[in-house]
Amino acid sequence: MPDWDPEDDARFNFLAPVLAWLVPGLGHWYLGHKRRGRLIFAGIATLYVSGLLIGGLDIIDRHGDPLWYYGQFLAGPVTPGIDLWRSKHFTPDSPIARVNHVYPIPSFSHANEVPTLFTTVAGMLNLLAILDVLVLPRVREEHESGNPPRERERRA
Amino acid sequence: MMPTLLPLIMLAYRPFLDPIDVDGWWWWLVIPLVFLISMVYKAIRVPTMRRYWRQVAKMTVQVMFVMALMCIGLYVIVLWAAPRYF
Repeated sequence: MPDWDPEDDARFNFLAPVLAWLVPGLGHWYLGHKRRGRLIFAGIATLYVSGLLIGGLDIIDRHGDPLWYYGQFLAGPVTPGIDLWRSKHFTPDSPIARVNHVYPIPSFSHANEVPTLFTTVAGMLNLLAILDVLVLPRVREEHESGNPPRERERRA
Repeated sequence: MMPTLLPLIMLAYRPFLDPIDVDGWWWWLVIPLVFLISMVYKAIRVPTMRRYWRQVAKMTVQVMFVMALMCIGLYVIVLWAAPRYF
């Protein structure tokens, strides 16, 4: 038995998918599925940050790896933000890099492939979450615990 | 790699700027990858959140089991059957 009422007509949500793209899990949170939202955020954020920690910011590269970038883009505005920031401030020619030698070291082989996969999978999972909240009914507060009310269990 | 060099390498590591050398153990990363995919997928798909973690564990084990079977199958084909019969 789902923790929302299937008899609630599935209306098309306009704001929830946008929120889901802005912050993974926020679309579910907004519709009242708070536990789902927290878990989606935890899973996607862990995948994404792990990828960046393993491969460095260099794995997000719109010009170098455009196909992977489109997948990473689905994880939220953090991807174009990182790409813009990195290409503007963290190139070997930038003033910061020339003074402090602070710029991402390019990664190769598995150090590039695995984290690219992590971040792209995070984006693809967020696409599932975005599509899910398109027609997901809003849930009432009583379902927040994750347990449906008893009368619904009896009906099931 | 000499163990005495490891602390020096770790000191040199700058998070988000330097890649980590995963060449020797990259395939172990499939375990957290599958676990996190299961975690998000089940958070979206399960009708009720009761027994959520059990469902996540079940999916993780199932995926890992099938991948292990595929590894064994490919190993047998590539390193055993192909040299003998092809």
